[in-house]
Amino acid sequence: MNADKLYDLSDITEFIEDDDEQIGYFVSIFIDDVPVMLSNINQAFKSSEYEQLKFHAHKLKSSIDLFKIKDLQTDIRTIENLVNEKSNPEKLPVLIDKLNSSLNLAIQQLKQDFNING
Amino acid sequence: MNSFRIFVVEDDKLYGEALNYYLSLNPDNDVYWFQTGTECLENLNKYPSLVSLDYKLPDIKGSEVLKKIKEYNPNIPVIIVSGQEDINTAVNLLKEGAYDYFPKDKHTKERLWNSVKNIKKSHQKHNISNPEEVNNKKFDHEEVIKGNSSHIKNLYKFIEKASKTNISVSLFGETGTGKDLVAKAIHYNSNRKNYPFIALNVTAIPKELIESELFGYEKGAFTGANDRKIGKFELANKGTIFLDEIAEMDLNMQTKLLRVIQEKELTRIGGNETIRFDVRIVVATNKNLTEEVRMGNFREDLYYRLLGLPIEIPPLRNRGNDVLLLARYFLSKFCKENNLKTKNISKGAKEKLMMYSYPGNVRELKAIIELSAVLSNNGAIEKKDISFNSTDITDNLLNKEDTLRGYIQKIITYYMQKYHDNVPLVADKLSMGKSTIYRILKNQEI
Repeated sequence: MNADKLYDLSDITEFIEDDDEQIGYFVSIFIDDVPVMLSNINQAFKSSEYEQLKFHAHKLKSSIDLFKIKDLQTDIRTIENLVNEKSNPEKLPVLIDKLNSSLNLAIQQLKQDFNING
Repeated sequence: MNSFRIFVVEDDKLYGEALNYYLSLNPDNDVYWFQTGTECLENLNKYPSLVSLDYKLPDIKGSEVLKKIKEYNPNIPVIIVSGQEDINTAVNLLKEGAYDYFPKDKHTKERLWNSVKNIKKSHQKHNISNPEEVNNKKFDHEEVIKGNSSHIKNLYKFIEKASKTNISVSLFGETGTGKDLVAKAIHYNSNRKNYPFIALNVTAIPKELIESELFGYEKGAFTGANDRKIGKFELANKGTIFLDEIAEMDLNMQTKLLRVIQEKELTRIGGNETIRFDVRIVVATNKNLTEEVRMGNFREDLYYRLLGLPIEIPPLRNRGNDVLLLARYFLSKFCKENNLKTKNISKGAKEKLMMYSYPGNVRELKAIIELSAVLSNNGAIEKKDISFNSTDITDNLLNKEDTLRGYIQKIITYYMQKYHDNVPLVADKLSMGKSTIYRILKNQEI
């Protein structure tokens, strides 16, 4: 796989036992669902609903792990912990910005690589 | 084979879909995927064999779902699969009865797969059926325990009486009479039918192991106890435990069993925790328990505790024409299962079947009929196709009261078989006229 790719499908491919036909289906779920999760995180952060923010960050974690988006695997955990421990809230905006930009870029790459329009 | 029903409770679509896909790769798995805890709880009547539960759900906390599953049926193994990487949470959930706890990482699928394998093995070992599948078979005792004789009609009445209450039941009957079927009929027609039916034959377990089989043990309780083992009483909670060949239990174990039954609680070997249980007990024996008590082989207090509703299961030789009814049933079933053309039973074969005493009861009749179906060369089972393991045809003669005419018929039939239908020889042996023998054979009504 290319070095500049944000994602790595080796874990999800192994999970579904190298079924090439299915991988496209899981990519389409990622492309459909991750923007909704991001929107939930942004909304919760904007309205300072930290319990909701923690919940949605926790949920997004498994998608990031399954698609091995290494740039974000530590960040998503940091967001969850910061909210959980109610410490250093000033770090959250930067992390959430990065979460948005990296995930949007990963989605674009996936769309391109799997020839998915929209 | 029973399907192994797995509930995947996961609100994350990607992860839920991946688990669902992966677990469904084994066609024996019947996977249901729910995205909320509420959906999972509403479907518990589908009897999952295993629940894979996400800890963080949008509607109910995972710990609450776990608690409700355990309240519904403590025997359903629940594996928590969660992104929650907190050891305290894991420990607490295990204390609350979770079977295991896996963080969501690249090892999740192997761990889950291995757990499914282990739980399946345990189901096979304990012969646990999916209660829904058994119930769907409509465990109609008149269908399972076939017969038209007055003895069997009477047995149906006792099964109905036993099914309506929680009374202990003691089944008495010779080997092969179907005591296990009666025990199942009682369970699956009672209000415990949605909970496990657990059977244990006392003679099948070495006496030094029976306590651990019944009450379980903790890890490290003795050499070789590498894992905790749940005993039969715990497995049968809210359901029925069937203890076959109870008269063979040794006196020391009888004392322990009595105490557990009286207190309705047990402690696993090597453990401290007192575990309460709610189990209906059905026991069976082919011995005369009163006599065993008199001889000091069986504790009197345990006898009275277990006796409850005593039910006598009649031997086949006392069930008259049930022999032919059952023979036709076994023959038809065997032919169907083996893609053979339907066969009839000839008059001669019927006579021969009715003459035998069946020391092995229904089980023996089934084996005789199946063998006859294999030996038969045409569309009917002939007398020659019927072979008995025991040749004690004369034993049967006085086992059942009959008229003098009946006895004469049986004696002549026996001699005819013995001397290969040679009427002059039979007449000579019995000091009877040949015409008398012909007349009796002609009038014989079987």
